[in-house]
Amino acid sequence: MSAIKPQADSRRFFTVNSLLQSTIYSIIETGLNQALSLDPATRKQIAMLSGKCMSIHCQSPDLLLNVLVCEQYLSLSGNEALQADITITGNASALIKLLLTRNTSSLKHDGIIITGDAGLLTKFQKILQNLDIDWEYQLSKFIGDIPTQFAHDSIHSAGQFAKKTRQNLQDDIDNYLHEEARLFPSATELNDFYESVDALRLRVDRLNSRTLKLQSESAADI
Amino acid sequence: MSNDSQSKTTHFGYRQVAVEDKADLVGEVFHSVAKKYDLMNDVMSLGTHRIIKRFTVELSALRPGMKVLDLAGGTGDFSLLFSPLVGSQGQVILADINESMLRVGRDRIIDKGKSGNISYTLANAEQLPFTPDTFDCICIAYGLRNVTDKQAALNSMFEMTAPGGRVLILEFSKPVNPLLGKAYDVYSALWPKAGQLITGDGESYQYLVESIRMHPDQETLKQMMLEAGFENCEYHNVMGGICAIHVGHKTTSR
Repeated sequence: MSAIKPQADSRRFFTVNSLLQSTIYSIIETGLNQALSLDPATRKQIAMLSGKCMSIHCQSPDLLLNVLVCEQYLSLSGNEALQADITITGNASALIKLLLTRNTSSLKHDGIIITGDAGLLTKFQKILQNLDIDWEYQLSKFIGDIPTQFAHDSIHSAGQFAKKTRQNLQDDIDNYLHEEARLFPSATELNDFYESVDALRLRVDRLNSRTLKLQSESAADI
Repeated sequence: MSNDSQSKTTHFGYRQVAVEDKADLVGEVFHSVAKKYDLMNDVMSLGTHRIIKRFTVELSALRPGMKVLDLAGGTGDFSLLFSPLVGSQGQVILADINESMLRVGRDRIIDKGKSGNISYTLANAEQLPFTPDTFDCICIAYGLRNVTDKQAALNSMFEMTAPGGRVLILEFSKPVNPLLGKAYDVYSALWPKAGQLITGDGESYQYLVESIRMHPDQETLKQMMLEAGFENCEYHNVMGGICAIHVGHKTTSR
């Protein structure tokens, strides 16, 4: 047995912060797993990554979040001792952006550093984005089938209304800007303009080749 | 303060009792409080024990497929938290020296339908009945205080930990700030009364308060862990040292 010197560990007296962090992680973990429990397809996809750990290290504010896949369960922790398969380091805004977008090409500009199995990140992103929660079934367990159908219809028609209104508004604004305020040319005017530019270009081309021809003929005469 | 296995007596709270009697006396305490144990924990810790437990589990660094021993696990709080982490390929063993506590824990786990990877063992922490080098993590929470020979328990835990594994000890400890210490003394003096009201057994909680005072402080416990063979031992004070989580690692067998 060998006696080891006491470590100089700055984390030794961390108390309130880590408890708070632990509480927040616990709440997110519960929510995340509840969401997962409503989406069996995603749960199966997640299970394929079982044992993998993604570590997200936020530099400002200084935070560490490990996402460990335990079969169909996602476990969150802030423990540095957990070895990650992929580590993503960056500041908070860039990390949130990364989480929400499909686009991974802009990582370099945002100052995000990825070490480890980058393919894992793509898989995680895909799973998160495809999360399709069957809330109707869950709701029907609490309030019954008919009210759920009613809720679904109401939400659906509200959605349709919103979509239609948005479309109308877009058309109206378009009309106003082009036809009434005449801030921008309309599509037909633009097409006319483009056509005349094309015609002009053709005529210039013809003129150019004619000049070249005449030049070469006069050079031959001399 | 160290263990008193050499002498014929040991402490039971503030009392001195014969070494062979302590386990039975502690047993009686837990037989009596088993049913209301979780409720009393909420009362005494003002609900914070849940967060502290969660934090301890985060320190376990468990992954699917690992084996974990929830020693002195009593009502199974930790086993329930470990179970999803190690998954169906892993194993959680809930061990307690007290039959009543183990029974409450087992019933609770079965009632929650989480029994898949959890097994139960009635075991004495001083002489663990497992194959050496088995567990990736051994966790003893609020249990070491009640063990008669703490060094023997640490030695036994070291033996059962797999190389590369770790041990987590969550226990009441010594508040770092003297002012907080005073406030805590005053507050904990109320526990026997609360215990009398809730469980009808104030004496058991009198023992609890006394046993917390008699428990080794952070540095002493760390030295005992090093003595047992654990390496890279460190501790995290929780709530200003009212509790402390000691983490020790085993790299190789002795």
